[in-house]
Amino acid sequence: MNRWGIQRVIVGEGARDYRLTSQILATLKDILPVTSQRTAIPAHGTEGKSTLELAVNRGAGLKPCPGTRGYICCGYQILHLATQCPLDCSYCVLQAYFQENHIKCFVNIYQILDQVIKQIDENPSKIFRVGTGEFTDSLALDSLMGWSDRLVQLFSQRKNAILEFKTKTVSIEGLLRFRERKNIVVSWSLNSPEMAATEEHRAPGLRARLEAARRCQDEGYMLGLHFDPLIYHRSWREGYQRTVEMLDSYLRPERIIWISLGSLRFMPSLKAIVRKRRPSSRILDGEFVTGLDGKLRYFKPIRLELYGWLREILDAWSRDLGLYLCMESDDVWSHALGWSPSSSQGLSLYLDERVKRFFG
Amino acid sequence: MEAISWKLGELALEEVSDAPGLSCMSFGFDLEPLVRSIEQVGVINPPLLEEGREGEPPVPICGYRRILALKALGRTSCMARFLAAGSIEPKPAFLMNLFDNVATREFNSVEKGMILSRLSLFFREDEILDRFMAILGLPPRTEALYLYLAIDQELDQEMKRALVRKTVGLRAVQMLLGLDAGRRKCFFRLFENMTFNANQQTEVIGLVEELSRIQDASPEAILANARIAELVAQGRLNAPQKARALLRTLRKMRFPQLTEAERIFKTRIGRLDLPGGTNISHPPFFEDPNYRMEISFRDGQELMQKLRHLSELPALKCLYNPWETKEEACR
Repeated sequence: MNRWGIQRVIVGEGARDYRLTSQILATLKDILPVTSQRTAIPAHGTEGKSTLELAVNRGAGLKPCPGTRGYICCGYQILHLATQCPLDCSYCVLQAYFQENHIKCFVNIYQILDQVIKQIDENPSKIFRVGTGEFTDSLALDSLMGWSDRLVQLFSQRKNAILEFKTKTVSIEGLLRFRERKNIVVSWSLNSPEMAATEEHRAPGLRARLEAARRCQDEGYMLGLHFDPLIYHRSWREGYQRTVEMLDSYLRPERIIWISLGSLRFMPSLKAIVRKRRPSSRILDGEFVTGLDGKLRYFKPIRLELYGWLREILDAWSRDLGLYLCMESDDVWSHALGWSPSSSQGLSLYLDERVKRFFG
Repeated sequence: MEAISWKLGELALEEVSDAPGLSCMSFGFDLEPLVRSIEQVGVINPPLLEEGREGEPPVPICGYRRILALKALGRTSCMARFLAAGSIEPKPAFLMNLFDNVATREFNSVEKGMILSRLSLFFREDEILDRFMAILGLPPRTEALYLYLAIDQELDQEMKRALVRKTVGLRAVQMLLGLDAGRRKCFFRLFENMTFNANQQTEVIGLVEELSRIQDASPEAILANARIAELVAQGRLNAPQKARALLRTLRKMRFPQLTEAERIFKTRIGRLDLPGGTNISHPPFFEDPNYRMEISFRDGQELMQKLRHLSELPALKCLYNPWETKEEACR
């Protein structure tokens, strides 16, 4: 098996015409590709992790983060290059968000980027915080798709945009090939050691992730960290404290642009999927209630406890980490962090200010 | 389907077995109305049977219930239509019975499962979805097909009867089919002993299953912890009250912090001495930060009186999120 775990390749309609398709098929030369047929697309989640569809994205390249009603959103823009990834986290919301469970990568990347860059350059007064890690892991397939080759230079030349690679992997070779560092944030999703080991299947362990993060930081990259989803589990306080202690031994806090905190939340339909695919998972054990957006989330005082503890231990590490909450209400912000941006616009301004401060 | 020829003749009822044959699609029915009907007017539509080969008894194709009703009336023979032995294949024979039944009655859930199981012997899945689901009043979806096949193939007779009697609802059965036979049995026993409506049944299964997983205990152990036996024995509660009490207990076990917050809120509101016709409620799950007050009044004068009363209630200061501690606010 190849390093990405890909066993099947489907060439979607129109994808054969793109050069990137030929390059990828040449790399995966041991696999006989099939053309897009419904029967070739696996219905089962695990099989989907080893199936790659090369497709053409005919929609918008840049999409606003699908923030939900009643909660404050960071205003991140999603650069949509792929959906799903080879990692198999039990809590992954994409299992319920997309109907298709297999990995889909878009081969018309230059078209997408032309459109995105045009949009960015036509709005010079706006700061674009762009990321590729919402619908996929930003780096898990980088060595196959060559995303960093195309993106780093392009974004480092922009005056009003930053690009965030969000990952749980250690696939940083592509990033380290370039000298440019401006406007690029490399972020790692973190959890407690127990949750990382038991719920984040196929993802490298915490230590490996932090070693990769340190390497990037040493090479001059600005880092971001995401404690999302925070999971309420046995010994969670000790668990997250252990992770923050590891941060202290691996990273320099002054080169971290932001750290987000988000508690586990999901569409109700994910519950049955997790039960079926991961019967021994403990992530559904908490007290979940229906939020203002219809998603299930921990009962508010539990979220406050989680955020309050993370804030305490992170503050003890550094007081300037750009801590923010992902998809939380104004009152939770005020109670957990002691201040609130009041609105999505307010949070965007706060994060934009961090961008200006760190990248000029 | 090709036209088939049959001949009318006398059927000796003792020759026909009481066991449902391959074409049978009847389950859990009440024979009594049919017995009364035949008693009054006789058999208007004679049963259809295939003659047996070499001395074998005839096999009913249509009219299994009519034959049972006639036997129940003590009749020994009736007029019937006979097809020659070997003149009809199992597939058209089954379809003949299906359409004979579709025209005259509705099927219960177990019967729909029986029919779909038999159809799956003769037709591909897509054909069943396209041609037969709508006839049975079911959505043409794979999940629905699989559910009814599982009802036929996985439920035991006792559970099937409970489903037909509606002691257990269809949604509850759907959830139970995902469990192993032992766990399934535990819930069936509970539903036999206590009366729940359909929504309550699914809620009970969901809560007990989650608690069972979290506590690594069997459903029986969870129900024992919920003091189910005491509840069932409670003489002063009627059936719906017992069902609600069990659900309250299970909910408290599954959502301890939420139910405690609800209790504290209720206690605080109870202590407020609110004017009559005034009600304060918390948002669903306390998720929205805003509470809500409703005041009913006849005229402005009464509203002013109630507002004055409210403005003079010092205990209103103690109204804050139940999980917060603001003792100074209440002093």
